[in-house]
Amino acid sequence: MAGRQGAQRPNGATQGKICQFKLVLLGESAVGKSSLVLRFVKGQFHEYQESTIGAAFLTQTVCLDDTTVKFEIWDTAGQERYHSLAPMYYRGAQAAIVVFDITNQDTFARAKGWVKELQRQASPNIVIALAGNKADLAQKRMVEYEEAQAYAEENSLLFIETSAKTAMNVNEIFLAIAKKLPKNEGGGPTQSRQSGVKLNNEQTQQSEGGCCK
Amino acid sequence: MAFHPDKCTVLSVTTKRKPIKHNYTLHNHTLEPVSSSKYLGITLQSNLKWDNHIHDITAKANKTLGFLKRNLKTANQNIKDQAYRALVRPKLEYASSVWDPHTKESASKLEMIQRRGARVFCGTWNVNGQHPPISVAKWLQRDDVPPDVRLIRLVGIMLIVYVKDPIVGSVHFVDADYVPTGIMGIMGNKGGVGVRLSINNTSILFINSHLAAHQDEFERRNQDYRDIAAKMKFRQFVPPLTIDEHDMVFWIGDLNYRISGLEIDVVKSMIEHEKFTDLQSYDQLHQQLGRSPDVFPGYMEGKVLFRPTYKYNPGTDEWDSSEKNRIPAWCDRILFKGPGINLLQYREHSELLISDHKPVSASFEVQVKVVDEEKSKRVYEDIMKKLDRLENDYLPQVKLDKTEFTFTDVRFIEPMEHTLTVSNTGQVPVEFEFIEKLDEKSYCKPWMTLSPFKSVIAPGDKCEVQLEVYVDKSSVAHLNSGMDQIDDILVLHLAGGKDFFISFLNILVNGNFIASSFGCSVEALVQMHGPIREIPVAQLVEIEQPGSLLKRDMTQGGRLYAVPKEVWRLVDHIWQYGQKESSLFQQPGLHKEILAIRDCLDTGVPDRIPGSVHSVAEALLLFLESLPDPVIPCSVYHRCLDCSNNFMLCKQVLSQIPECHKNVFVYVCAFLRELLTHAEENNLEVKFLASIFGEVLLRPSKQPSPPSAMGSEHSSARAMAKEEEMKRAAFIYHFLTNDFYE
Repeated sequence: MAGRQGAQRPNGATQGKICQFKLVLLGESAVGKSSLVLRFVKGQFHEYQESTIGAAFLTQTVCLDDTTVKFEIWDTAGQERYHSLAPMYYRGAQAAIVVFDITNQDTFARAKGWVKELQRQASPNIVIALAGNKADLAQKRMVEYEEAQAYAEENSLLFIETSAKTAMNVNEIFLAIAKKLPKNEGGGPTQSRQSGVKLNNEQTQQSEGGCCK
Repeated sequence: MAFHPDKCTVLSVTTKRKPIKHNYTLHNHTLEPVSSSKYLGITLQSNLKWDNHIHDITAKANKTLGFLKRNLKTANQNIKDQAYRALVRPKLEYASSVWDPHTKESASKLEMIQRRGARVFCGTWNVNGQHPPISVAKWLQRDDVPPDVRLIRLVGIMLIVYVKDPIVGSVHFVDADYVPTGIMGIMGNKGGVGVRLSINNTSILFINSHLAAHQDEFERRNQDYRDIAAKMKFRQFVPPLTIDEHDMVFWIGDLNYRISGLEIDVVKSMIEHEKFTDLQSYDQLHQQLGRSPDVFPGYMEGKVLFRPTYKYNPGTDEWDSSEKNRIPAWCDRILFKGPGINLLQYREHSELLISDHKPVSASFEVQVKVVDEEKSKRVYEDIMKKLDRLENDYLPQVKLDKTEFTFTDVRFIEPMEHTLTVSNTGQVPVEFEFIEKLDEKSYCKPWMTLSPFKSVIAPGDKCEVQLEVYVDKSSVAHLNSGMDQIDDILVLHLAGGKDFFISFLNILVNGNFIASSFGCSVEALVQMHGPIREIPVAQLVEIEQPGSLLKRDMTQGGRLYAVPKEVWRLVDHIWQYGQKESSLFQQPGLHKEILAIRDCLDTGVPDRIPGSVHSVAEALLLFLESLPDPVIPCSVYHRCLDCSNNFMLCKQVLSQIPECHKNVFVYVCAFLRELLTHAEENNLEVKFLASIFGEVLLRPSKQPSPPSAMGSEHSSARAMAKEEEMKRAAFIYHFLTNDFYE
């Protein structure tokens, strides 16, 4: 509870402030972007998820220790013919999850393309996470963990393998992004001049308390 | 079973604001109507809320908690925990499935907040500018249970707040402020200082003030209080926190209120006899406290059962023996305000002698609100989750019956239509609109119209959007030349309530266009030997490339038509069948016939152009209008207007345009002059033809239409357009009345 609470009055509940961020999901079609969102937001999974034909919008809140992060999630159409529309969706986004399917090397190549495009065209401070989805199908794996990991490190991306089907690491990836996003402290009391003087502290000098003006 | 009427009451549950009151009787005994009643240990309320019950059980549980605290003070954590679970929790949880707290407040009251006792010690001593040469322990360490928070005042106005080490971690938001009320209202010899802090979730404020002196100045003291109360603000907070916004306030200091209305001897004698209660009724502060609405309103004070603390001969316990011979008074006081403050001790410390005042101290037990962090977080997260769910549920949602539309074999000026059904499947009204894609000016291609392109749909309702493809003279050229295709993505944008609740839906449009000689360039047309339908698409694209004519000239020179065969065929047809027809170019043709004429020109069959001569005349105009670059090219348009009053200059302009364009122009003008020779039969007038063909042969390049202006600007734009029209007609007029080669 303590600490940076923005301009909150001290009497009320002491939850932190709410930061709102726009997050966009990008990646080849059928890698599981919508499934990740559905798992994260509603805790559901559909084996036959309809193909997204535009950009669907949902919100979800993540509570960190001192702040509450509210994601505005834009799930986009992965089909190549809609590629030209993607800038409409990632414009102004503070975070992006680039998704690929670990059982399909092409989707990883496409993911790299998205990362490059984001680095070139999106906001310079965008937090990008790389999600290797369908981790439950590890026996059909075509993209090695180490390969993706190395690529992510080179490009300073967060990297997590996820499974929308089993829910593995789904909350975690959003949480990791929430933690990495900058939450600017706007005004308010910074932890108040650490309250007073410790009397039994040996180094403490004579306490100055002069209020006689 | 018999009921005892005295044990029965009537509780009526209704949403009516003015419920009808019946008297119910049992054994001839009218039952008492009540608004809440206890049944099986649960308090039922007529409004079906549970706040009385929750209030009752929290009070009960608190009582038991207090009992445990008093009696299990020395017991270890484990026993306390067991006692709590056995004795307190059941009170809270009894029949909770019935009254399960459903309002946020009730739940949080029960779940998150537990109260914890804390001890506050306040001490005040006007030391009259003396440094203590003696230990102050007797004043500050009087209680067996050491306090958690301690407060002292000393010289001038000084306030120190000490916090016991174990609770330092629970103390936050420490801030201080001061309000001088001394000389001129700015000097600090009188006034107040305040230190505020929060212990867990309770805000506590300590104020030390030294108010105006002198026996009769109690009104000034009251004013000093009001000044401090109004001006003290803790500016660390936004907006700054005032005194009254604190849960608890301890106001201490040399408040300087005196005893008035009694002779000094009487006062001293009452003190000797310890008639403090009687004496207190003459105390200026006591007389006002709780009675005057603007003197320390809401503040309380413990019973003053000690000797006045002022004024002594310093170093003694004797009353002031100076000339002034002051009446003893309770100058030094400790007031408090707020719930959950329990005064334990209020006393003076006469054994400390150095000052003309004696120290006063009070100790309190206060109830501090403690939020159970884990529960609070859980409640918070639950609420956030519920909000998310609500928010997502109330996002606009639509279903489209189709997301892909194919327009097969689109032809020039032949409309084609498909219907898109947008159904609102969500719970909120949806506002939809087709929006532009990035860097595009319009939400769809020029050959397409969407109606409606925006609308609002109520939940459960639907809206049909007509997607119409219509290639007209302005869009045909790009489709012919392959620069454009029947291919587009429409972006349907949904908004509902707030603007950020948006989603996009993509709708694919595709199809093919059947090229037409209408909308081909003069340059391409003169290179086409067969009808356009017989020419491969790739070749069409090639001959539409700028400069294709020059290339062709060099390689296959001599194989060009002088004028496009389509123009020749149309003109020739009118010449043969319509030169004596009246109302030529005036009577509209039939759309169906014009389509047939289009197909005849594009396919080469039948040999004779079908349809009436008026349809052919209209087709000729349309053909000329559809040329991507008009017969008189856009590049010389303005020069033509400038020289429209001089035939020689007009002829000079013509000599500078491409040969094929010039040929068409000369050919059309010659034909029109021919028609005019039959003016007696066909009633054509040269001015009419000049005006009609001025529009068709001369066109400015497509500019973005000037912004629609209002008032005078609008009318001046209209006047300019009119003038241009006259000049165009004047330009053509020269060539209809003179032979080009004269």
